[in-house]
Amino acid sequence: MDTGASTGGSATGLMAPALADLRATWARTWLVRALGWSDIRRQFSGSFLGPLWHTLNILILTTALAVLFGGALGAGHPGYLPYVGIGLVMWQFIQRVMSESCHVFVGAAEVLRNSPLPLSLQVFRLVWRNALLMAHNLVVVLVLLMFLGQAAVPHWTILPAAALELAMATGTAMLLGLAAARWRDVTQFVTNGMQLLFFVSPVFWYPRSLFPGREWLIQANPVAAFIEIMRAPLLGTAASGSSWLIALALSLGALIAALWMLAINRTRLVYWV
Amino acid sequence: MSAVSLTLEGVDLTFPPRAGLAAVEALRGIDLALREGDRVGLVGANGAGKSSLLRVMAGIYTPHRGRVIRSGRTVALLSLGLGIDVQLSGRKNIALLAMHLDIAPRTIRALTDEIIEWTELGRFIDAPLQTYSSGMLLRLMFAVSTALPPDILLLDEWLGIGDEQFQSKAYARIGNFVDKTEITVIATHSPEIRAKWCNRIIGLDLGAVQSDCRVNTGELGQ
Repeated sequence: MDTGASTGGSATGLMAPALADLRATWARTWLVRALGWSDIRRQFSGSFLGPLWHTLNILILTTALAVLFGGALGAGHPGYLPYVGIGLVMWQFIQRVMSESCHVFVGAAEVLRNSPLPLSLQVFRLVWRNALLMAHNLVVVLVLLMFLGQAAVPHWTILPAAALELAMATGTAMLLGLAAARWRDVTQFVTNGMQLLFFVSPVFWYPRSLFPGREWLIQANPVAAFIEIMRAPLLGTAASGSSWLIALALSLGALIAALWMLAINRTRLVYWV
Repeated sequence: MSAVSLTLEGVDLTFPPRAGLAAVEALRGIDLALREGDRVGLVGANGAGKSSLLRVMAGIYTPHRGRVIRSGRTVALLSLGLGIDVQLSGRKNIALLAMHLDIAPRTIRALTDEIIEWTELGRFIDAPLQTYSSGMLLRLMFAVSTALPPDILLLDEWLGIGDEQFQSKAYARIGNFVDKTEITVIATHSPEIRAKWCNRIIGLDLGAVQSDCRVNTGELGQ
């Protein structure tokens, strides 16, 4: 905001302001980090354990699922606990990003209407706080696995996989955020969709045990791909080529679409929220 | 450093149709050149376009035609307490509020002591805002908003709040604050503010500039 110009009209000038919005956020990474962290703290303010509840939550869920379903669904799979633990962390990440994306702009209406801060700031704030949570939860699960002697040496593909997760989260937050600001029904649609998606995503069951011969059906589910590219390397192997292909295509597509939508709707969003 | 300026050239702003309403022409053909030393009082009836003009100047609304050129650090105080979180302490809220005004963390740390002192919050500064009286909350939000003078200040009138004691204290602080900014634009209904702070009065009606005249410099700072 040191120097700025805003002009209306011509379509030629749509992309430049969108890129300027991204640069303005880039110049304020401290603000992204501070707001993301304050969001996490606020969620638990007043509670005695605070953000430690996240730690407990993932430990309790992992243990409970492993005990409850380890016999039926994990029979013959010695690595069931690591599979469930990491699967849960990734599912929670995806689910949180999807549902919070619907509120990313609507929830920041007061800021959007009264301050010239860049729009993409709200998107990266969401991605940052969810990345922190995912990293924290993964560490908790890995420590639990080490404690139980079930931890594997992570495969190097964990690094590109994490990059794809963040890219997808960024694209999703921008696209769903804009769509939900324009059409409020999007939020309800996503909430309902996520409930359905949980049942067709291999979080605590194996595709080959539940759908023998039709694993491809599950692998075509994008959520499964985004769980798989992180889970496989953390279990010490590489994810399947098809998972990589789906995740790569979707994240690149989402990023490009997000930039395009930001360019088109940047000046309109303020009237929607 | 280049001169601080704020220029609007042929600015038209139309609100898109929404909630079953037709599109609304909010601003029409605004040409303005504000230079260092300008302290503008923006006057006009409700709905004349004062707030819309401030938002266009700030870069929140993008004009449909024409352009806005800002040169200088611009701060828009349109809503008091932007970014506030009542569950966090006063101290943490100083940081949050200041960050929403685009003040960097290092600068905030340097300003914090002065803000705490001015607000006279004492031990309450480490208590969550939920425990504050509305007067205490107002003092905190006001002190942060006026802690660091920008080059260009866009102000929607929100001074008619608080008790008399606060008002006189607040007027002194904001007078000082306005004095240190190069260009100030205040949307106001108050003749007192106009007389005291403004050296240029711009009248708006139906989204267009009706009058633009210089007046005798008001007294500032006190």
